[in-house]
Amino acid sequence: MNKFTAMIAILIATGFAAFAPPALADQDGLQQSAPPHRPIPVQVSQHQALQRLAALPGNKQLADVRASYSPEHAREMSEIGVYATQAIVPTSILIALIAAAPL
Amino acid sequence: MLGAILLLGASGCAERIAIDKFPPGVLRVRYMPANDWTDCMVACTVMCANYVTRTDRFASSKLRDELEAEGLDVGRVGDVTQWLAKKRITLQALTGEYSSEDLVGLGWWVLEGGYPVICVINKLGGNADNNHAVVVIGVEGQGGIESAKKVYVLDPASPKRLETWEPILFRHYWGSAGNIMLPMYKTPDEAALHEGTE
Repeated sequence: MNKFTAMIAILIATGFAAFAPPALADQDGLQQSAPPHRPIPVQVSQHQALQRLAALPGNKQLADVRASYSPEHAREMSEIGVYATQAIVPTSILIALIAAAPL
Repeated sequence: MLGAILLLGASGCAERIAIDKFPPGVLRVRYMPANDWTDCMVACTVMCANYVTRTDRFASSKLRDELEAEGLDVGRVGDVTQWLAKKRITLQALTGEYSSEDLVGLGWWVLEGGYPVICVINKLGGNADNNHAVVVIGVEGQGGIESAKKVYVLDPASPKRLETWEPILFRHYWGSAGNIMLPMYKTPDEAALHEGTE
């Protein structure tokens, strides 16, 4: 009975693993599904035009703009757990734990 | 019992961070989460720099350390621009348009040029202290950004990682921060620049 239950648990865990999205730690998986597009190189004339645009007073002052999290984002992050420290249990360890668990 | 708890825990985690593939047609930019509440600009810079240079040589922790070692502000556009310039990468701060207009249109960069673009957004509005950086990687729908049904955004602060926003919502967030867009590209070499000025 115990062995049968353990087997069912392993099958369920394997099924979950097959359909689960990639873990956060596996960030590379996002890109490995296909090679990235190749951006069209910016031409010299375009680069110069952009520099002229950037030198306009309205754009020039954008250098002083800061982008960082708002307090709202900080709260959101604390609610979900800080990314870097969020532990994701690898599926293999999960299965081993289930199989070893006293049922 | 332990197995059931572990299973529930695992499925809960997977649901919160769910993103298993990119929608068709978007730029496949490797996601980089922010590890600190001031890190969104750094994370977006790393995402775009690795994509534009087609390498993995940029890392958030290293970028942050180097910026701080040089006394630069990790969240300030001008400081990040200055640091990237030494790497022969141009980060151009512009007031952009939600259009396909050459150079100033967000659609021109993302859809025609194939560049992920850092956009400064503000979900709360009014206060620049609430500015936040995200990376626009594409839109849903054919016929340009103007007729897009969704805007796809990599948000370094989002548990979903890939955000899908209605254009009206994106434009509201973007407009609240002044429609600031920061396209990034490899700087043309000096010889080519010299030829271009003649």
